[in-house]
Amino acid sequence: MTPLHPRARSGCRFTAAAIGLALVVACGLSLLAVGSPDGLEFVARDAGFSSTARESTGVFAGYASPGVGSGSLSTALAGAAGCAAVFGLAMLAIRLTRPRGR
Amino acid sequence: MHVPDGFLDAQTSILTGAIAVGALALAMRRTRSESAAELGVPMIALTATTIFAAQMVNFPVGDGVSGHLLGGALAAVLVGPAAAMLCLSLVLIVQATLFADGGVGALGTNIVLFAVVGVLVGWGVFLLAVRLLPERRWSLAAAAGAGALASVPAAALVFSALFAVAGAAAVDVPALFAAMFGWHLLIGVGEAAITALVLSAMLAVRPDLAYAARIAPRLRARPAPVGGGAPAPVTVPA
Repeated sequence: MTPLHPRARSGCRFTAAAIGLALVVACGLSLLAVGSPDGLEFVARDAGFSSTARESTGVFAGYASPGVGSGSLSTALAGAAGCAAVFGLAMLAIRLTRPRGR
Repeated sequence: MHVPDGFLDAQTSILTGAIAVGALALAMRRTRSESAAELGVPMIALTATTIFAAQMVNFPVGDGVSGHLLGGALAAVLVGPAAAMLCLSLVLIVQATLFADGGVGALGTNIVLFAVVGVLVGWGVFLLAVRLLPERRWSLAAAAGAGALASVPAAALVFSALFAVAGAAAVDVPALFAAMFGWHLLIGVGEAAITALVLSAMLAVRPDLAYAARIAPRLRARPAPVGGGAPAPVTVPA
């Protein structure tokens, strides 16, 4: 095994730290999120058009995980799953922007 | 401000969908050149993931009203405006399909609001602010904050315009504009704080990875043309 170039090792450390930080936000800090309606929802209620919204469905609807209820664990798992999905999709998209490999 | 299905009529959703597809195709092409030096770190994927995470954290902006980061300006200063559009779009696609956050039919509308308006206004105001601010250690972060502050009410105003034209209900249009602008200006303050903070941290740790820092010397070198923006040749439409 060849030792990594210092620059590459720093890149790996940065990547790991950034993923870790995103997970702390998605799985920890997100538990402190306030539940009140966001700006658009609030305005829609106030102006009387919130009832025109059609409810969407999704495996993690409401940022809750299927089969884990709606507690902290449920939100944390949903957050982790979302981070994984976004990261994976983005890595795929980056490959698409570079058709000839790296 | 994820727009659910049902707020806008079908034709408008198709139109915004077409704009979104066009913008995304252009963004993918430009991303290739902008992110040439990624220095072994998947910055685009990390930025998208961080924005997804940050959007889960709603902060209060008033009595019974909350907001969260949109991330257009933040993504633009971290990875450049084209890659930022890609980042925001990916986040919105995951949110609409897995999290029921924003309608699938309204995906085009949300991409236009977050990824096109949010990124372009955020980046445009950032560029302008970089040229106006003195060259100090804090000026890039402050300029990013200014871009972030402007991007949120801008997106809110574009939504209001869409709803005024193609909304599912008749509303008092000036009141809608005023309410959307006011609340989203407050949310923009939070957006500015988060954006400036994250860019500052980035500049402290790995300034070479931040797109804004990489191109900052180029931004400052040129005397500011009135109006700022991209140094494109001026063409007069026939």
